Amino acid sequence: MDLTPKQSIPAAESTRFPDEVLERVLTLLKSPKDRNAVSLVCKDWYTADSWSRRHVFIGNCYSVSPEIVARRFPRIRSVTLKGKPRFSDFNLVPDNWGADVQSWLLVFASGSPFLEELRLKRMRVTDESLEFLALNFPNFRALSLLSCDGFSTSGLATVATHCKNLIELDIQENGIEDLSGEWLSCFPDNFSTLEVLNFSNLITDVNPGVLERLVSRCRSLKVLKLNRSSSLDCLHRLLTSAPQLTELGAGSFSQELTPQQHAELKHAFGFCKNLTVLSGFWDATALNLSAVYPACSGLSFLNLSYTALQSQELASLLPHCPCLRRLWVLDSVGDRGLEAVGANCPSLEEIRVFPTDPFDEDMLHTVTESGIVAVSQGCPKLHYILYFCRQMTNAAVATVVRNCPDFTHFRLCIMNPGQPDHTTNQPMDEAFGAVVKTCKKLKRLSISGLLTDLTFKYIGEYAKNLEALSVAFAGSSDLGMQYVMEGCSKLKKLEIRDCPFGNAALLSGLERYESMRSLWMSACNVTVDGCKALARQMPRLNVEVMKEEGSDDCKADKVYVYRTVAGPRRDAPPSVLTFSSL
Amino acid sequence: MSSAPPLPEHDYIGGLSSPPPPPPLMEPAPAKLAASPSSSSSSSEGDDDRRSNSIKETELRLGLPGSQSPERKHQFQSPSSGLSLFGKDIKDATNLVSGAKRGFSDAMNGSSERWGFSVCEKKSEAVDLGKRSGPALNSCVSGSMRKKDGCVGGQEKGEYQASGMNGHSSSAPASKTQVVGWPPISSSRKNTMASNSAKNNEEGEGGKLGFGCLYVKVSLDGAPYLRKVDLKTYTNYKGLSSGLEKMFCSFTFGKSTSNESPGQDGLMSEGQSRDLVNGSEYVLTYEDKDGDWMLVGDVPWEMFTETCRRLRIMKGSDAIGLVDAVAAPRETEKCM
Repeated sequence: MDLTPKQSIPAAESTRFPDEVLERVLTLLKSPKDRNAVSLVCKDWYTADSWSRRHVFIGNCYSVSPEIVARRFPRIRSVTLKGKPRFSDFNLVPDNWGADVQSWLLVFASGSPFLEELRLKRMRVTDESLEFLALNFPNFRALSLLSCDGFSTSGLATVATHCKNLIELDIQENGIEDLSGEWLSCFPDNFSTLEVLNFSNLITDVNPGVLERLVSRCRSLKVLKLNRSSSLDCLHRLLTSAPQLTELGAGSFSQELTPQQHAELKHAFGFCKNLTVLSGFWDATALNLSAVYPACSGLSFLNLSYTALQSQELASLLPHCPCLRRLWVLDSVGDRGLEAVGANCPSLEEIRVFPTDPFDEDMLHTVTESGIVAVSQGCPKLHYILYFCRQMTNAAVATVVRNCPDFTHFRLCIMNPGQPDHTTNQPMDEAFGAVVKTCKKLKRLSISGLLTDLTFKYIGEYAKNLEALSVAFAGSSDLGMQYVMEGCSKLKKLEIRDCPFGNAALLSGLERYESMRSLWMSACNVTVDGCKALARQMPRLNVEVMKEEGSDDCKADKVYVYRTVAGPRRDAPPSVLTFSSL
Repeated sequence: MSSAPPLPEHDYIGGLSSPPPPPPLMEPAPAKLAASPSSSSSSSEGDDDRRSNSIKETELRLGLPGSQSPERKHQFQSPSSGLSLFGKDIKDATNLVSGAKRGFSDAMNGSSERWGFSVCEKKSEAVDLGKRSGPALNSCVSGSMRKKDGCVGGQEKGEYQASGMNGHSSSAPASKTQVVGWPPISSSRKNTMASNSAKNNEEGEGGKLGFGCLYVKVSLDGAPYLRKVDLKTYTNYKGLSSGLEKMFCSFTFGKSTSNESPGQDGLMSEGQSRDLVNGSEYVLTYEDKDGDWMLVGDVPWEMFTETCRRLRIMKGSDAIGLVDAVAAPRETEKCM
């Protein structure tokens, strides 16, 4: 840039933005990763970022203390916190493990009372905490609880009662003590700010009249997800008063409707031209489902994973959803249903197929390798798959990734642990070899089936962008884990269960763990001594061992290792041993 | 005689007073007939590790005649994993009772419960169990009962041993049981689906379900795993019979010699029910809503579909007790 002499600026000043300007610029950066990068440039930028940061994402609540966060970011408005290791979703973590949000709330109440949004995943949240939240943060507007536990509907009632500016209440998949639907009635009569309401996880009935009045008052409501006990009549009335919805979770869909009622429901769905997300539909009958067709033309995400549709029902529904990008179904749709997906959903990017009956291996309707191949043939844009099946072949997986080389998330669960390719009886090594060799963008991988160390060799060698790896009942020796620890430089999360990996494997990751969020190893061959050795050598890691009743003293039944700047935690229950270098 | 090793005493209530001969050591599953010499001779690898487990396992091990679990499934699985899943056979194990009635009523009550005990050799971990329809309760059932026919057991053993030598020191859990946290489905999803399928299975009424199907489980004595049939796809007993025949033809040993002679009003004649599944040795029974085991064919078809909760194809010899309860003329046909 050419500057005339009049416009030239003295060198020293030209290198400094005024703080306010810098902060202003930085507020345009939303992504935490970008913000983190910015804060590393220099002290001024670090300070500017600290003052201007409004949202902080903490992937592991024990990696940092609330005091440190509050000190560094005095003006945060929105916090996302994740607590327990992911395997707590599958009952592998004891209930009293920790991750209680209360200590965070206490610190924020004194330091950042202007907190507006709190999104928690796998945290322990008590009713007292919810009450504390509702009473101490006057600007609070958005609460999202996913896979949390420890609270009841009474806690929700206090939030509804006291949070005058609430715009979001999102309660999903929690271990909630569901006492009654009274909480919904606690929203004041003049309360009208809600934009997101998701109570699909709750079981008890809410008062339909209260719900309908609430919905008609909240003109900005965009997301409404009902629970299973909400009837079709209620849904009809809700749709009529809230055609502006963009996301709808229908309730029960099994009620028998007269032709008149059916027509009215269909008509009401026809008004909802803005719907992009549909879910719920418990116990849907084919007939009732057809009432939804008019709303499907703009649908991008369809979640049918709570209703066991048959293949024909899915095949009838899909042609009405030309823009579908994400689809979740149960395996009751069978391979035929998946063929219909391949035939009707050219824009599909994500598919998840859950098992209807995970513990019943004799279900006649499940999906096989043919289904996933059929989807891949029709949906070249596929980049996310979660597939539960009872049989798979190496060739099929290779075909799938040949058809869709852009996978970023490949999660295959062959439900019988250690099951080989059912046509060749070979291990499934080549399947995952094909995945990592072909899908250069792969970030998340879950493997299953009979797997030797070769799978891990492939992963270490080819999966250079891998960030999350989930392993169960696989591998032959320590080498397996070593391959991964040495090769996957971007690895952030590693979870392993029931594999023959011992201390040598654990220690092979010494250089890796500080750049990872966490490591989980359960039912492997790691001993307490191995954990102690790790802790001794790596002072910035917390090494925790969860002991099971009746196991040997020397065995490390469940190991959880994570980086932290907060030191060993002090709230661990007696069954959790924490090792540090001290 | 005095120099021979004493035969181990077996105290079926309190466990063994001395450790039994170690069960054959297949990577996936310890065989359960420690008492039978043939089964104990195969392999003694890792005996000591297993001893405490095998003692526990033998506590509930032997059942009284007539109560047994279906064999574990081995055909489709890698021998080195051998995990045939989810405790179908094991759920019967927790109640050692005589007679088909009680054994299976417990099983039926437990249709939404799966109990099992998993021993993982490499890790010596006793994996806890969970009820299917809720958060895992983590109580260990110490003992996986299985009554084996000697020959089937021998077969399985052989297979496992042969192919267990792949060099895959796979770490799959030892026996066919349900493993905590597997498959990796979140609890809330499990709860939802459990109540879905509880509705599907436990309601005897047909037709009121979302999809108009009525699945009931069918077990064939001696088969490695259970199947399910949709009763709504059949309109009479004959259809059901041939459907079952097709389903289980890979397991049964005789050719069908069904008489094709129609009974009155679609009810099965003695001959038909005798020949139901590939020959004269099997009897088709079902458990009704009250938990009683009945011979299939006694009631009109519609009533049957409404009251049938599960089916069991019993060996003729096992059906003696059941048959005695029914009209005498059948008795002589069924006794084997």
